[in-house]
Amino acid sequence: MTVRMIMAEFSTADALVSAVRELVGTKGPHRFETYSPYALSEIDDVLSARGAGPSKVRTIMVVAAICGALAAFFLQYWSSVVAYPFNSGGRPYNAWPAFMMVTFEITIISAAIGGFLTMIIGSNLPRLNHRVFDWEGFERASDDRFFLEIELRGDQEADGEVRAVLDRYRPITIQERGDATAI
Amino acid sequence: MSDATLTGRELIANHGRTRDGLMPAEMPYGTITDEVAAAIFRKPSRLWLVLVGVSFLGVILFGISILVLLVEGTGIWGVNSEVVWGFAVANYVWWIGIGNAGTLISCMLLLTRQRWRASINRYAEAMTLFAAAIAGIFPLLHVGRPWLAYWLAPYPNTMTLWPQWRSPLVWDMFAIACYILFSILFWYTGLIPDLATLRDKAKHRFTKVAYGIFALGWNGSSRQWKNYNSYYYAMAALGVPLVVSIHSVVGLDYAATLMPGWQETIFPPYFVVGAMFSGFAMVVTLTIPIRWALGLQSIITLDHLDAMAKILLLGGIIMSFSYSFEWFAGWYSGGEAERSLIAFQFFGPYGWLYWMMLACNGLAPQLFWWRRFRRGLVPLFIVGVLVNVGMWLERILINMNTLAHGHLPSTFSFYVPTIWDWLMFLGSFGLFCFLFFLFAKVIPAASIHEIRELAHKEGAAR
Repeated sequence: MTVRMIMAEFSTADALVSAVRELVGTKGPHRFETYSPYALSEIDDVLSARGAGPSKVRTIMVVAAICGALAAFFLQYWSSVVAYPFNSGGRPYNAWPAFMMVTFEITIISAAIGGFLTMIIGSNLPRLNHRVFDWEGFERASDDRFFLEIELRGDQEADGEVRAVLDRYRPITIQERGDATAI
Repeated sequence: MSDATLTGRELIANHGRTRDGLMPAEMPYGTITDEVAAAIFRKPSRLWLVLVGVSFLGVILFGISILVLLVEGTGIWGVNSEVVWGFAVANYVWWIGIGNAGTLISCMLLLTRQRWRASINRYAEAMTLFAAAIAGIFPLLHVGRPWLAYWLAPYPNTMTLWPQWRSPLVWDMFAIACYILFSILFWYTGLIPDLATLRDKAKHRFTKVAYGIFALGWNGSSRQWKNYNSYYYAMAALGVPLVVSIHSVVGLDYAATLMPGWQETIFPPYFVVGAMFSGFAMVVTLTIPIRWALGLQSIITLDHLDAMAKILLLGGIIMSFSYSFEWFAGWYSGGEAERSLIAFQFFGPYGWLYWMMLACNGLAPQLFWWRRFRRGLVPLFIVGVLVNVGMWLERILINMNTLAHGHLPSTFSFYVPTIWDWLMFLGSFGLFCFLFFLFAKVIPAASIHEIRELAHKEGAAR
């Protein structure tokens, strides 16, 4: 089943943000996504007010850090207490304060790797192509244009309201097409 | 003519600067992209080709010195049975110090929301990456048999041996490996949105595909930016303690021994400050030619340099304090070896180097009390180079002085670097410059997306 999509291109961040703010107030709600050349914290605020949860990245980082710390400590503990006890100047086999440096480094790097993978996979990356790149002029989303893509619902009244909102903020272009996959 | 077609310099002429002087008062997003990306898509200049060529000679030199070392063994160096740590260890400590600063600068400035960061963090991080990678080579060469370096790693082996986890040298191996990996992740993450910009700006199919692959398919959706910011700030927060731990471990390599002048509790923090100091000096030394060569005067301004000069001044003061604390601790310990080492530092055969180091690290940055010197490119560059020289002298003197003048007078000895010591040091410098020049031509030298964000906040773009 194809979905009708509408894409509006704005020249300023402020126009995009205002359009999004108004859009969430319309009958719908419509599913939408914004594309911008830098991070717009205002969009995040709008989305969280609408009930979007925080990014999973940091949760996974904490979990990865704990796993890394345990693994690093137990590797040291096991190898110097069980596998290869080595008496160096009468110091204890389980010299846990001395084990803390390696534990610390592995904790940090585990969080870093876990977070990186979560960021990439959670953003649906890496991928070679995406349907959003098929919009005319989309290459400027990484330069100086701000895009708002909205999934139409096929309901005349609600969709008319979306078009009215977009027109009010004077987008440079508006395009519409049918797409095989939704946002 | 519309603003979109003007360059940064013309925009400053037309509109003046923003109130804090960081960028032109009017600077559309398109101009920001073009200012930074232009240096990449322009045809390589003759100057750049010459620089790459000359630095490549350094790379060849580095390769030859390594080859000779592997064939002949560590006997080609000036190290002897007493002064066992020579240039290789000093170079390692110096390079890792420079390597620590890039990440530290980038993370701390991000966390403290210093808005001028956006222009310098990218190449400060690149500097980190290359310096840390070069630093990682030296301990491998220092041990003399790099092909056995994997013995340091914990892995099940037929001898059922495990690493000595109580040794700072093992901590060091983990610290460097984790740090290099961390730096790559941090740098690359910040690059992804800019690689997408280059992908979309590239004209030729090959460059488009190449940048496209590394951009991983980034499209700038709100979902991607949310994950990106969440990760990037978390990494910055992790980066600061990591950097502090790395150079503390380097300090512990020394402090955990029993040698006079090394066995001091001040070593870890003293090494961390020294790393920040030499790294900032290197950033200043690199900034001045970069902003000139890439024409980034509207993005990297005198206010940026002024701010960095103030940090150098602070670093110089803390270093001077650390040196005087070393003298005090030596005297206060009451130990004969400690006291005689202090005298040896000032008046021994290496004394002239020690005085030179004090002048470079303690005295030279004092110029920055005056605004005129903080904003003068020539004094900034000269002091930057002097601090780099001074910090390198400090690293080599820590090794030479203590090891040549230990506890037992009968083992007092003298270390003189050989030609191979010098060639290898020079070669490592060539490798660093070579990587850096390549970087400046292939990757945006400043973070484009962060400058856009800054322009929006400053009201220069809407």
